[in-house]
Amino acid sequence: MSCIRLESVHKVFQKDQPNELHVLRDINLELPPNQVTVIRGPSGSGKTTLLAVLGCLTKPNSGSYYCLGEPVSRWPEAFLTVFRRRHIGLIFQNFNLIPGLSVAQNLAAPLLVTEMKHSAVQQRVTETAGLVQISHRLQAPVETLSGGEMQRVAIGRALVNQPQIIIADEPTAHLDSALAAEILQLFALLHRNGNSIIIATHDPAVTTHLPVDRVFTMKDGQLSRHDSY
Amino acid sequence: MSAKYGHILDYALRGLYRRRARNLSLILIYAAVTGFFASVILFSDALRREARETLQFAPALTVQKLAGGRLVPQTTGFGDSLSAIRGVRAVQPRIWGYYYDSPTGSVFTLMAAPGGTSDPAFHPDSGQIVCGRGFMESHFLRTGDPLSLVLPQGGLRTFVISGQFEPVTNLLSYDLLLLHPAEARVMLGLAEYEVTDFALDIPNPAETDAIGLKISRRFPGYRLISRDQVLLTYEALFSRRGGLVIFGGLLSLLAFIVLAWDRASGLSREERRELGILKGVGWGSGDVLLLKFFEALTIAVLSSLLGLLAALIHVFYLGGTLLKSLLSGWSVLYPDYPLNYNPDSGSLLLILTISVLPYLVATLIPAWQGAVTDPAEIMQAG
Amino acid sequence: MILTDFHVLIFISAELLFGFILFRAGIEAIRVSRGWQPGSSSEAQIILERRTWLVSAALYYLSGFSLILLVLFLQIINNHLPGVIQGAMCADGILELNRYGYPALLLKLAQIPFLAFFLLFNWLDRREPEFPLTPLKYYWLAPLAIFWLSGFLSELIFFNQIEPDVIASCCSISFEAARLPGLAVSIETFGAVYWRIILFFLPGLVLLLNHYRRYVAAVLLSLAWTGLSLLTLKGYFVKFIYARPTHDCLYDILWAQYYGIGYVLYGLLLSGLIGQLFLLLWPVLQRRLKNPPLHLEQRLRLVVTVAQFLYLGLIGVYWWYWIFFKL
Ligand SMILES: Nc1ncnc2c1ncn2[C@@H]1O[C@H](COP(=O)(O)OP(=O)(O)OP(=O)(O)O)[C@@H](O)[C@H]1O
Ligand SMILES: [Mg+2]
Repeated sequence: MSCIRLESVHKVFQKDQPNELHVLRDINLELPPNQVTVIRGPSGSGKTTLLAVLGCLTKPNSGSYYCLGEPVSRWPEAFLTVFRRRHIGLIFQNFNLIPGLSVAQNLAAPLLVTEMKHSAVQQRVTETAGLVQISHRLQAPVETLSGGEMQRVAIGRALVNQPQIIIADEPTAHLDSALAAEILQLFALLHRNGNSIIIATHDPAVTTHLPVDRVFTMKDGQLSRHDSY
Repeated sequence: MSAKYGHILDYALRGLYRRRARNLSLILIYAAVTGFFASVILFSDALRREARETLQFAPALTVQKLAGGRLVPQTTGFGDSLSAIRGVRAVQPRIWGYYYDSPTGSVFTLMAAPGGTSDPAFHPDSGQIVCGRGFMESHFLRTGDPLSLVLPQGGLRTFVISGQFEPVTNLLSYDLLLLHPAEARVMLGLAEYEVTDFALDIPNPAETDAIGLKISRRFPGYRLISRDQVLLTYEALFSRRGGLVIFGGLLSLLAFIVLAWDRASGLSREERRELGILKGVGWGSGDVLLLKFFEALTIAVLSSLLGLLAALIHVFYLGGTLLKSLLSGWSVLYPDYPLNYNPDSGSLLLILTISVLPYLVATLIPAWQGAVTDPAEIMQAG
Repeated sequence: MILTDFHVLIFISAELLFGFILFRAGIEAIRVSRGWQPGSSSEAQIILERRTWLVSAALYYLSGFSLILLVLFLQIINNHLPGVIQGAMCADGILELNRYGYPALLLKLAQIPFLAFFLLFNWLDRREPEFPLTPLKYYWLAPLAIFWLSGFLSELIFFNQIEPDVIASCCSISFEAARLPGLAVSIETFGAVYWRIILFFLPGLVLLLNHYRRYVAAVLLSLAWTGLSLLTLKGYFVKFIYARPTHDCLYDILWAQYYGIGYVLYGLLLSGLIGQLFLLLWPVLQRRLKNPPLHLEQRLRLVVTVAQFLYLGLIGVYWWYWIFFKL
């Protein structure tokens, strides 16, 4: 069974308006589970938009999307949200942490809308913090963290629901090469643990730290596959 | 309760605490509006209840004569015709009127000591006067002091204060001045055979209506006031005043709603961003709506209870001081009248309703707008 | 007296708030119903989906508000106005003051089932990604709006025609004011023992009918039982609550001095009735759902039975307490 299947997916912004923007054109994509997929492409080519579709944050205008066998593109937003919460972890281009909250509270945010008990939430937060090596700063307000630490929290928040699919948008963009290496090693660990990983990035360093299975290039809203980086 | 609701409530409370500077000012303004409202309601409710209690001791039926819509004196002889009616046990001629006291600008009730009571404290001889405590206190008087009153045709008449009423629950005695009948007539400009009205003692209350009807048929041109009617007049009076004040209050409430609307709809940029992130990490629109509902409910209930508490203290502990200065009508009628604590659960529910609901309504649409922000927004957000 | 009595004034303002939300929700509901395209992922459809959230939230608010407004209305006619209006002892006398009193109360009560229906439909609807009951569920808003509007108008006329100050200005009116009209049928007949037996026996029959899914018969029987409950309450059981053989008012049990037991009793009667009515709709509804909740039908039956027996239990406790310990 494929983990992700896109069939002639289109995404258009401002449809039928003068400033119409056709960001994804006829995307077809099939990814088996437990692979590392990299999506490259110039700025503005539609990488983030593709990830938003893959991450069930937004619906394609046409075409279908099957995620873990479910016809998610036919679902309304409310069901996408629940699905995403169960199966997908998203790491955003900007860390998007909630200011004013501590690391632990940021990590817990996705769990608050589940029926997990308070103690279970705390335990999961502690585990996840250990996984992304941020346990020492659990009570710190997120504004006080360094860039690398912020990215760890962002990754931890994506993992806290124990998703099968992890989607990361330029996870190394704001980090120097040493920090980037650390983060990528974290992804490698997740891959070994059985997660499917999709990364959009310009950073060539991904291949040196990650066993990349597939590489795609996004250009003018179209996706083409490469055999190697 | 499901764990999720607990988490969201907890998140809402922490959020309110995080933005405490902003929320505290909102709560204070909100509580002040509620406090004003609640004061008006509690104050006039309490006054109305006092009036009801007082009037339980009033005569069953009072017969007055009207001419041109104004109360005019009657002759004592008319009382005999009234006592001839079956069902009437006794007819009590009464001499009373109002005295305008220019130093305090208040109106007091002047009355001849009623016959029938044997208590000498209530029977001033000529040259003596018995006063209600309200009058004594507002003029800094004590028993034994001389008191000069202005005669209707001008000139002064001096009395010696021979006693004081204790205000039990008695709204009327509080500002009452009791005189010897002859002197009361002089003060009120009545002739020797004239009285103000007649109070009828009717032992069987079920007969009051029938007797009233009989008198109004037999003696047209007379006004009959039953105790129940007086009660109603008071009710209407208090309610009308209350209604007018509420109108002013309604305007201020409206202003408050606009303010609340403004604040809540202008979900601050940080708040919008926070909601966007929450939606991005898996919160649904329903979850965000619940979060916003908990926030609004907390603010509304907290402020309302605070305002209600302030109003209770203000009205029943401080005697409605602030309100009285606003409501000149009341202060003229009832100089410094102490109120008993007696609000009922209905009034409290009413106050909470009118205080909480508008805020919930005002925040509903902004909450919804926050709740349906596109979760994909934060993928792009910088 | 709307403008002179602030209890009434506030109540009317709260009703207006209710009307405002209902209006706002109604507009959104109409928009959604018009443009709804099931299964479409067009921009327009997504926007409509977001609008449905506003309708849902608004109707949750309205449900809460309607209960609060009902209690407020009962407080006003049962506690506040009897203190203002001459001769009235409780809500009954107040509601009889003019022709609009009882319609106002009944129209208020009638709104509650529609709100309950909407909430249940909404819940069922949102369980499935196709939203199978949209826009069907929004049709409940039409009767709700009609009942609210006519109820609100009745309230306005009802309160407006009550004139406490008239009596003070003209004596002849007060002395010829109408007395409370007596009931045409003697309510005492419903105290008879066979009525009591029927009262306690019917819920068992309702249970049986529900078990065999004879919902039409069950609804009719439940309606009859609810009516009989009110009659026997007035004719017999309420006296044990008051512990006074001559007192048969159906409103005084709402007072705090009787622990507001009336709210519980009437609440049970109403929820039993709503559950039963929903059971009537269920077989039709079920066909539209792909994945109907497993136990909903059993739970609704349980609600009906529990509500009816709990009601009987409560009045029974008052009754037997009196018989065993006081007589
Ligand atoms: N919600 C939106 N509404 C309108 N236009 C959008 C929206 N989201 C993205 N776009 C536009 O779509 C195009 C593709 O954006 P996208 O973010 O997918 O590019 P990208 O490949 O991620 O670029 P970068 O490498 O800079 O992150 C851009 O021109 C962007 O302005
Ligand atoms: Mg991007």
